Amino acid sequence: MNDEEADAQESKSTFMPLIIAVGVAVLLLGIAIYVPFVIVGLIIIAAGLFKLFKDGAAEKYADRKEVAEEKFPLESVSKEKLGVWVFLSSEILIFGSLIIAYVYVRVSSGAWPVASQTHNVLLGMTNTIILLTSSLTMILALYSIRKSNVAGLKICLLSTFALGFAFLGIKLGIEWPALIRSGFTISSGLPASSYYVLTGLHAAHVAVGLVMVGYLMFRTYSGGFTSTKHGAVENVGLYWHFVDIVWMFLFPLFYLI
Amino acid sequence: MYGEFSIKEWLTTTHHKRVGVLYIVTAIFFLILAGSLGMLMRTQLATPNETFLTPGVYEQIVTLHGLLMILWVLSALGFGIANFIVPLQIGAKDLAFPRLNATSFWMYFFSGVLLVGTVFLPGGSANTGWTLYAPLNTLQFSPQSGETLAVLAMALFAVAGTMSAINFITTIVKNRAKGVTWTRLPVFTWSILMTMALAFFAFPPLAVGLLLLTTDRVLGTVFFSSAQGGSILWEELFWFFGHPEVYIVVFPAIGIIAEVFITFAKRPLFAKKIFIIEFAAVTFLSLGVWMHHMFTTGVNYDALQVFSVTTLAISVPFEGLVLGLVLTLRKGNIKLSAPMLYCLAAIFTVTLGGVTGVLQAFPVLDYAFNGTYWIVGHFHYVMAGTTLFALIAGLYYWWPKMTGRKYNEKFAVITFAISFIGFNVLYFPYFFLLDMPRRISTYAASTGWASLNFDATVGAFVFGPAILLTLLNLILSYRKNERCELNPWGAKEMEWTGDYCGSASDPKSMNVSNVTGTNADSLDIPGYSKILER
Amino acid sequence: MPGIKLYIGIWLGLVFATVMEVVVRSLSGETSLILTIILMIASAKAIAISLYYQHLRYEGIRLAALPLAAIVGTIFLAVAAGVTIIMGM
Repeated sequence: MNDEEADAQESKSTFMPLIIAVGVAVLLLGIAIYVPFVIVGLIIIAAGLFKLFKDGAAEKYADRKEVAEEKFPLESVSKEKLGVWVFLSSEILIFGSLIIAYVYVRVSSGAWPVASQTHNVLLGMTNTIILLTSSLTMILALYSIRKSNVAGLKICLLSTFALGFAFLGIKLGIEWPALIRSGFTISSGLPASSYYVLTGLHAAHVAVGLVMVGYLMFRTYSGGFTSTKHGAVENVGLYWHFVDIVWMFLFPLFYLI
Repeated sequence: MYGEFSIKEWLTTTHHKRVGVLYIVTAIFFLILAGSLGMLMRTQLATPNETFLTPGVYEQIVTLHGLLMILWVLSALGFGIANFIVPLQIGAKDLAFPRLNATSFWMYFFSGVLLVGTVFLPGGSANTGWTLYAPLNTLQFSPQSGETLAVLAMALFAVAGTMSAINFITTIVKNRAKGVTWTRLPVFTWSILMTMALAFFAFPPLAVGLLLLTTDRVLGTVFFSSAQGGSILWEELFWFFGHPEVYIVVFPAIGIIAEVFITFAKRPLFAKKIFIIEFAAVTFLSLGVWMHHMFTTGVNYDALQVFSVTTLAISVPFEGLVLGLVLTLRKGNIKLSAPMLYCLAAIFTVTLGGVTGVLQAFPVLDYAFNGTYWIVGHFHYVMAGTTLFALIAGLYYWWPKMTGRKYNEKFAVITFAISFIGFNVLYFPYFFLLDMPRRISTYAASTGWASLNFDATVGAFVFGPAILLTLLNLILSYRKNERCELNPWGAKEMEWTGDYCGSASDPKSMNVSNVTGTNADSLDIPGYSKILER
Repeated sequence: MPGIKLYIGIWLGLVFATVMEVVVRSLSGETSLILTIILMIASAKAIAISLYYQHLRYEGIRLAALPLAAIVGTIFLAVAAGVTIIMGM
């Protein structure tokens, strides 16, 4: 093996896995014993991810030559897409287990507050439609870049971001404060426990999705996507649609039933 | 040769061979730590009314010993060996996502640091047993922040494990070299695929349980402190993870035993296709037996019957696996090397452990067994016995591959004999302590348990040092700086014979083929299909 | 790959279904029937998104096997956990 190849391989060496792990550890330490560490941990993680994305963006521009490989039964699926699908499947188990826990405690409880009296159903419905629309703009983003329509890609990504942001804004800025004001706080019992944990985890997933859409916008503006090279748009889209699918179930489970 | 790498290279590497070494070294440190905790427990239990350890301290030790051993030692050793060997077995340059792999390792590393760090917090560490049952795990009964941090450390481990599962599954599906079809996939890689498939199913529910426990302890939710959620909700989530977890621990061991038997009996794996089907059956069924950990909780009888049947059912393909392994030796030219001896011992312990497990499949018997040393004996036979023995065999077997050095064979055989004797003297008495509850820190002389406990402690003081001697043997292989031959066992598997590893036993080399200039994830290896045809 | 018309058509269907869920909820009738209908509508929405937005309809059953396996696993846990409470202790 010559030195160039060794360098090419070695360029995958990076401090970021270590840094990100340290950030997560500090974050967890903060949760357990000292809340300010949570902020420190988040900053470290953000910095690590930022550097990782920057390096990743540079790498992905390189051309890749395919050599004959065994890929049955998933020949046509790229490894990144497969990785995303395996990840999303594990997320199905996460949200699935959470929903099971919610249904379990609810059925065990017998008496449960009426959903329409606790929550603003119309606002929830509107928010649901907002999130659905963001899924539409996300898939249209992929459609655009497939047709080499970079302007369309930009508009759609921006719209997705705006709609996702609106979803979070309504939830965290209007719905939750209203609930808290009416006494429906996280420690007020099982109904609140399940509502806040499930919709809160979902909201966190939306937030992470927004970060990734932001990354896509950054790469779009630096000219990174073409009609043949846009895997990240598709993969982030897969995640985004998944988050939408979870909400399809959370909305009726908490606002209607 | 690992000394040739700088510290910076170790901290920044994403290459699978070095990440594998990092896992193995870290896991061995945790092994020594958790093993020492075990020695402390045995010291405490050797005589009745012992005051060497207070109950409060004992409870923390038993919790940490369990958590560390199951997750941070046994699973991690398996993952580490898998990291090193699997890409070599499938002809890949690396795992599918190398930086994700490194992130998994460092998350595992720091999760262990956090867990051990809980000991230094006021109020001490977690003391609820590794199973963290509710409502004992709630703030009301375990107010110490060490418990919260231990829960979070476990959650971090679960996240790291899920990331590894995604990585390995994608790698084995997508990064195989030409010629490595599914039927030709080496059995160790198959075992890792099954392990990762189980990890993929098992870690998310654990993460969810830990998340809910954390919000209970930190934000005031009431999932586990309420009567409607409480202990059963916890046990459903925990054991849906917990049972597959024990298979996650033992599957790599089975893969290693198969590889060792193949090489040292110079025979192919007996009926490989059937073996893989049985493996898949055990994997699938292991997702459906978890309620056998809940037989005495008072859940309804029909559920008990279903899970009793599934638990008995899983023993059938599992026995098939053991039989397949043993039949691989048939008509073989058997060399009783150290790896072979450890694997034979592993077969012995899995038989004993498995038989006791079958008895536990009956709910009515479980009322007698539950929470007693019978159970402790059962799982130590399969974990400290089969799994640990097989992992040690794996380290011995692949040591020349991983380090280019050869340990001292005679010394290894002697330490094997000492380990095996010590192991059985330590754990066999547990099956006769049927009425002794587990996790108690001491007992009265009138119980009559003293003599068996004393015998067990004697065994511990043989087994523990023997493990240390085993590690010493491996470390001392570095004493001489000379490299051993590339393939001292004459093994035929891909990781030994593949032309493509450069100076094959040199982990500093990347995996490159003689075909240069490829940028793909796997390698077009000339003649590989010939290697695989046997 | 689908065209813009299909994507927008699916979106319209999703919006309509969401409104229908709220309408169905406000109907009077057998509660468990209403709940079942609502959850079926929700499932249909989820399936539509996964088939057409995540392109599972075009990728083939092999890729769909992964999320399906996860769903089956979740359902199994749900059934087992459900049995323990619904049928009583």
